[in-house]
Amino acid sequence: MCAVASNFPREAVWKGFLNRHNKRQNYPMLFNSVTFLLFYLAVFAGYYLLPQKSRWLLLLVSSYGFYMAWNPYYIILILISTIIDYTVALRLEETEDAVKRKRLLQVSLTANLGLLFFFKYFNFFSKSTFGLLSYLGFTLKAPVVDVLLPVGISFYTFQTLSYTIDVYRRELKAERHFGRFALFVTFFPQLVAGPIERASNLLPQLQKFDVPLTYQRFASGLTQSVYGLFKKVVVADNLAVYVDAVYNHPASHNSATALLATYFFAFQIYCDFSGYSDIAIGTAKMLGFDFNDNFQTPYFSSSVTEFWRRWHISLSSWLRDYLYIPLGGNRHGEFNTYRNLMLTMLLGGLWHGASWSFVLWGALNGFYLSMEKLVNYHRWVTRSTVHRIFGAFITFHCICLTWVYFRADSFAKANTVVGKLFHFQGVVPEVQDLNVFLTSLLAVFILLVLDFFVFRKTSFDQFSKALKDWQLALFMAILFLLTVLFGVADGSVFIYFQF
Amino acid sequence: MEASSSISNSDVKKNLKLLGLFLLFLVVGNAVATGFLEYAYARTLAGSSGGRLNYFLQNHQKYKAVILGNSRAHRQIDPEQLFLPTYNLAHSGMDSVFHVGLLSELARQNALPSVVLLHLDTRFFVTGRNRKSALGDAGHLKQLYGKNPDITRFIREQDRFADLKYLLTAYRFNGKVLPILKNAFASAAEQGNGYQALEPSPEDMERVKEAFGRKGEVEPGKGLSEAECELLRLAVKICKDNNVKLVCFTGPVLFPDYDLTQAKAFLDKELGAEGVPYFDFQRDAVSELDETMWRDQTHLNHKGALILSKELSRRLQAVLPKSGL
Repeated sequence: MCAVASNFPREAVWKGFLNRHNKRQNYPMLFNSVTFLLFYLAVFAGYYLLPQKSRWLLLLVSSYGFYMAWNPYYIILILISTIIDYTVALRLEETEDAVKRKRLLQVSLTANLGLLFFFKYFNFFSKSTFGLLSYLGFTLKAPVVDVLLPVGISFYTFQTLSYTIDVYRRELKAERHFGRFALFVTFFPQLVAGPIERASNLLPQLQKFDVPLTYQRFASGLTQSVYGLFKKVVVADNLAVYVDAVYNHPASHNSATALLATYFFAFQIYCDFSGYSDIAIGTAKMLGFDFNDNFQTPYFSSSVTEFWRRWHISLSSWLRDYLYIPLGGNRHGEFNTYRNLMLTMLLGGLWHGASWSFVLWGALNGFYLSMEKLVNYHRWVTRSTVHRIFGAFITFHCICLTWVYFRADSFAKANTVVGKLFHFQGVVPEVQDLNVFLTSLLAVFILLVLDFFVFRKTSFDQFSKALKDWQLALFMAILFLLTVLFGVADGSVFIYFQF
Repeated sequence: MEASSSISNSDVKKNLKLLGLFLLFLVVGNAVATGFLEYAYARTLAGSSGGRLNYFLQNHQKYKAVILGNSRAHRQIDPEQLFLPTYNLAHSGMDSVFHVGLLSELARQNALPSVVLLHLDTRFFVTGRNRKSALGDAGHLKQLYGKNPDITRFIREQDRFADLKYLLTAYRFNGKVLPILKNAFASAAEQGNGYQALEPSPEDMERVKEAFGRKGEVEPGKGLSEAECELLRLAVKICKDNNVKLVCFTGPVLFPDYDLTQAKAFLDKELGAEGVPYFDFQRDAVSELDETMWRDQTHLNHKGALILSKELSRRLQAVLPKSGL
């Protein structure tokens, strides 16, 4: 497998995506763009000016427009998914026959996962299979399809799947209004990079559109959006400069540089993704919708198990409810529990991208989770504050090791970085651009102070409630000014768009 | 009517107050930050975030000529070797739009010396870059947005929302705050004449050999860049309007990686018609430059730079009038 894997560079997933999408004109609706700001202001104004009964239509049209700004043709895929799941769910509700119900569920699973497979995984499996055959001496040309990965396909596929499965399990009533269901699938704040909302949370909110824009809601939503923008534009995008320079040519850097770049990537991906989630949650909140939390200061976790309860919560809970538990969870003995954990994390890795590196990333996380269960790590780490601090230190470094495989373009480069990390050649990190480097350090420092002292234990709702209006306004103005002064001006796409 | 039931009057007032306070703090913070950074920037006389430009603006009377261009001018032309007092205001890594932007700013501030030596990177005329990409480096002069009309135009062409973004005037210092603070308060003014030699390193020969290994891989030209042509014409016009002698030159390379025929034909015709002397050290190779004088495929080390600078000086003497400079 390794031979196949090393022959399959991840450039197709990572670099290819970035090359195609890094130009703003290709994706005008980035949250960190003026285009999105104007779009959102128009939607916001229209939403509160329109009568309640028409608001769903405005949101639906806006959401379709939002997606089509990237690629108008791929809206057809979302439409197909929407029509199939809408119809299947209605039939599921009407049918009592268990066999028919199972078949209906299969239709939905096949259609959704089939589209996902074709656009995201076909080339990966084709190249891997033919690579293996070639390794065994059968030289054949792997068939590949030359298609662009539809942005957000993994997110909306999982969202619609959870809806059909919930209806199948009779945990949820099927939505009868096609427009509202279509809005559930495409609601723009969370369409392309989550949070993956459960139908049981979002669909009831799409019935009346009468949530008042209270001061509390407005203040909390605005603060979270501004903080999310700061995280993306100031922290993530500045860190990316150093990370890219090192990870593009890992062989030409010393150990300290590789270590620092890996630490930086840990914060880059956190700020890139949680920043997106913050803007999604904040903008939705100001329109009257409450999404679930997606991140809860995960790097302060004292175990990997805890980390996964606080990192990309909407995905980890999805995997728990629709994969780990149906596989048996921890109900059938220790061996099966570990097997289920490994399978869940392997598939979780594959969800992120069609590459063996992501599979390895998932495997490492599955291994950590299994080991923690095996040695009852949780009991040890919760003994005292000192244990917790030590646990957080260990956890952060374990997670950093997995990020190497997540970030590197290929196995070869990832292994080079890991080799550097454990060979201790060079104790002083190399710095090419002192300005960007110092800006990055300053940005991470501000982030850690805010996350540790404020947002570790306080939600945005609580934070905005605790502060007087002028204090909150001052806080936001300072963050925004820091974004204006230190943000990376030409912006970049969010990393999770590729998934 | 139904819409208003979603928001109570008291909430509307509170929301507007929060928004108003946010905007007020933002405007005040922006004014304070801009004022402070303007002050710091004016004190900055070193570094590439405007410091070297400021230094030249304050000292332009001392010089008869200024060199503009990228690393092939910054790292290869030593003003000490030229026969007239010259300052090297070239900036490594920058494209034509940046150099023409500097030229425009010197003209705006009446700081143009008698002679402008402009380095032209011929490959950029034919690499097929789109207009937006060719004008990208204008963003490095964003501190002059709204002040210099040419730079403002370049940036606007890059970003259709530029006017909106620059409403917050502090944005002019985006990405430059730390270097400005460092250079304004922690270091002295620019020393020397702006030239930065490339010292030879043990890896040079390897790099040069590697470059020789690739010799022959010449990509066909991808058509003349409209943006590059426009920028050159603007440079010629600025010099003409200000009665300044423009001299263009192109640094030597071990071998070009693009077919430059089209670019060279354009430059010969355009510059010839305007009476602008043009020294192409790629075409008219300097015979003394041997393998030990290269840093890499496109850069000379300090030994090579010395020879090139002397050769440039010799050719300049032939085209510049001895009197009236």
